[in-house]
Amino acid sequence: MNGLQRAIEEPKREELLWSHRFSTVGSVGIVALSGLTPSYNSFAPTVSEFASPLLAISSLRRAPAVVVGYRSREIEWRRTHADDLQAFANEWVALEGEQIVAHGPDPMEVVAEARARGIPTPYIFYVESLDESIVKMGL
Amino acid sequence: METVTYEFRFEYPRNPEDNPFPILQLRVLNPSDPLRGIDVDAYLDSGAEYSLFNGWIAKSLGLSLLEGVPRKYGPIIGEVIEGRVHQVRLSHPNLGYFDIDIGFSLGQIRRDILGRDFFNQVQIGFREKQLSYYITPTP
Repeated sequence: MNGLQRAIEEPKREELLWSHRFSTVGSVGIVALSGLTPSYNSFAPTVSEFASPLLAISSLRRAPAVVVGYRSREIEWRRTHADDLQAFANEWVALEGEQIVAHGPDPMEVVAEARARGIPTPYIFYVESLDESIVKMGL
Repeated sequence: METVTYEFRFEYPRNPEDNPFPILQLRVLNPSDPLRGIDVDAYLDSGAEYSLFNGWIAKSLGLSLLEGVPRKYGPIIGEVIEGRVHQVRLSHPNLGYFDIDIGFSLGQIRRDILGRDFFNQVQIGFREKQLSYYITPTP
């Protein structure tokens, strides 16, 4: 921990960790019953770990909590409405929940419009036009 | 063998083109006016020495963009990108917050980049095959 960073409150962190441990135990139970290791769970125990209860327990303790950010609802909407968003290609969009509250080529105006609608901290993103022949790089 | 443990796991969100990307959703705040912020998708870029966000974000936070410390950013091709460095607060519901110097571009860029200066504040690891990354909010 360095001086510039404040951790989340300790009770909350513990609550997150415990809730994940319990959910992980649940998924392991399902795996054990079905005899399958789900591909989406990268921390699911392997067959050799089932053979060693101690190893399995050790894996559970290490499993990190899966988290989402402030805007999980918006992310899900974007994922399921990719085609709809193409109507706003090359524009900035302010999305609140499942509603586009502002859009346009000038992000400052989009922010101002979103705030005028009572959203002090809008979620703003740029809609890149679909071109499957172009791959992305950082800068 | 050295073992690194992580506290949180993030799945790559999908962008409007439905491609998974290592994006961390963050709330950018002006430390002196934390009631108004901007929620952004920041691309995790281990190839970037420093983070670079759009200049309009700084303006939307009430910062005077041009009064920041000048810094030039060299992309892999093309002209140098001019930016100004301001201290802002990056907040995440699970990771806590980071008071960090971020460069803001004078011109518009398509993506906001979190570079190695941010990586230096956390412990981060990638599992590209699982489309996941892991963070512990201590370096």
